[in-house]
Amino acid sequence: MDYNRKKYKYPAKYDLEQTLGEFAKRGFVDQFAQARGIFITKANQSELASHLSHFFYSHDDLEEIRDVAYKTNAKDALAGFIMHAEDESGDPVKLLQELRDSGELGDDVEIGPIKLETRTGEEIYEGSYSYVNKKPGRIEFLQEENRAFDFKIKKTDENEYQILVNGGKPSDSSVFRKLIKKKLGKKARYEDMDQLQLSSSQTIEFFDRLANDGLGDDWEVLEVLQLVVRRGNDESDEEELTEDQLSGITQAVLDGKNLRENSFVKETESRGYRFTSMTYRFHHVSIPHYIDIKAEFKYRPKVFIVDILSYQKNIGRDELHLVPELLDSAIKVDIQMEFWRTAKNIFSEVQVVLEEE
Amino acid sequence: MAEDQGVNGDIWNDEASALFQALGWSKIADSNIDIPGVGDIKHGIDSIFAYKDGFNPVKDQGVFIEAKRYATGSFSPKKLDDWISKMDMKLRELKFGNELYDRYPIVDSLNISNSVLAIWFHDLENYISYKEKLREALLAVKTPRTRGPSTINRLFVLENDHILRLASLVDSVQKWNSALELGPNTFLQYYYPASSLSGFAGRAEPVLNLEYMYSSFIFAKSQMLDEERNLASADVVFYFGKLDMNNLLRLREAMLTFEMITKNNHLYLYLYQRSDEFRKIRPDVEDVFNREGPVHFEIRMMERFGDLPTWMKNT
Repeated sequence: MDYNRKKYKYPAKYDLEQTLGEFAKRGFVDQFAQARGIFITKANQSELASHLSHFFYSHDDLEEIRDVAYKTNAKDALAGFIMHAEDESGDPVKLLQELRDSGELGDDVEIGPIKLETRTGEEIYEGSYSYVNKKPGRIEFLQEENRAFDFKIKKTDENEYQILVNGGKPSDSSVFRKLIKKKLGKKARYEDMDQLQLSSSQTIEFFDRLANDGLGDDWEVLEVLQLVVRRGNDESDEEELTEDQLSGITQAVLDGKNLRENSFVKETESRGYRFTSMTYRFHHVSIPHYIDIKAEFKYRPKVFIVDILSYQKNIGRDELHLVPELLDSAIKVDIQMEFWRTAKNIFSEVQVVLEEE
Repeated sequence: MAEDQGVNGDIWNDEASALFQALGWSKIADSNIDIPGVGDIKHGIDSIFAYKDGFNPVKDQGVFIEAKRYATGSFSPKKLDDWISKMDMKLRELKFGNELYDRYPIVDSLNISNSVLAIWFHDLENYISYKEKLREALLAVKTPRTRGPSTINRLFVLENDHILRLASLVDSVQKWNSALELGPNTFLQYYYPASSLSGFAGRAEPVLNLEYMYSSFIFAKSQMLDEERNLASADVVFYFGKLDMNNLLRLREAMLTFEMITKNNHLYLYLYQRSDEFRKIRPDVEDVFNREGPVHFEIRMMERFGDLPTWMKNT
């Protein structure tokens, strides 16, 4: 039996000390020690890490440490792209199955079984993908990150597929796209939502329409909870709106007025700012459920991602009293997929409409 | 009374002491001692041990032992939290007072910063279902912290599962040594690999240190007679982790890193956990561990105790 020895390399004491002392959160390091019956008193995090690096750990322990060192920003955000294949041979589900069964993937990549799901009445193929992400320059223990994400593939038209991944990093979707590209070459074209493809005014139009159409007929937008604007592409020149400004935006959205007519928005647009992120609260039209969704252009390139921040139920009679409500993870993904798809349609439409103006 | 103080408590203190002695530690103070600390407040300690630290040959470690015998129903997270704070405080007060050194001069040569709470839940029928609560109690402890510089203490909780695991280690080592047909000079010794950070060379000691007590695996070295009854060297590994391929491959890499797999030595892997699945991967495991040496490779199962073994009881 052969195995990738690098993947199992036992970390040096120094690497453990650095990982527990610098990359992991203090709370995790405390709990990691205490769960094992170890209590290091009056120690700061680096002293604690130094003591803990003297013990020998199993693979499971080490993976627990490493996962936490990576997971500082992990989210359930969903990102993706649309693929237009030349003909039926470009069916991504078949391509992935072929890739997996032919052993072309290499040791570092693994594709799990691809299952057909029809719970929302639509055919969606789901699977999981794991790979090793190499990060040179980090301490050796953290140089190879074992990443995994889930993917969903939905046929949206003749030879057209919506491919979305949710794992935590939008870069996962480009990893996935590269794999398909390698197999198909130029026999397909890909569409995504890169913010650079929109002008300032187009981003305003995009987020404005997303508020009203994003979640379909069962949900109505109730409030704009957050709005971030940015000048050019400079992340340091980013501004988050105050509550007063937000209530003006919410009112404009609720009144169904064109957001670009709002005085604050007009001013922002004239100063060269574009909208980069908006968080909406929707409520269901027939049951007392509320959902907060964040729509955002993020990372480089600035691709569009959707994240559900909370799902709540109102138990108040006269006043709104929201308590967390369980949201089935499959339904959560369905909602995100629907939202992403609508966003993609709006994205294409605002590009055309405003270009025609 | 919640804690079996008196006779049963004393008996457990002796039983726990038997375990530490079997691991190579030496008792330096009588059982149940009261020592005045700062402000003449007396601190009770169930026993004090010293051991030669394989990772630090310069200074031996001193360890205060708190032996508690409890029923699961009488235990609470609050109690554990109190014990941890008290153990930390006790170490500080006695370390910086004079009485301890006056009474036990040998303490002067020891590193006084370790304490072990050895807690035995005697209602074994309830213990298994109680384990999750115990874990929650461990996680809920507020480990004493400080803002400014302060000496650091290491406190350890040793409960049923862990106690029986160490008893199993002692059992395996005793069986190994008695099968050797060689004198005590060739007995198995725990192996402390060189550490680039501590700067000490690798060494073998007949003593198990606290780090090893809380590690997933323990390395050891021994002399042995091979099939032709020639003197040979053996590398012995005691492994307490999960028996799946990922965990065993990681163990092998650790063994290669610390030169526990060599072409000249025999290799014995002792497994503590049980798994029906292991049967399926065993041929692959044997194939992998046989590579790059060793002269001979063998997997052995460690005894698992459901209650304290007789050598701990007959003290």
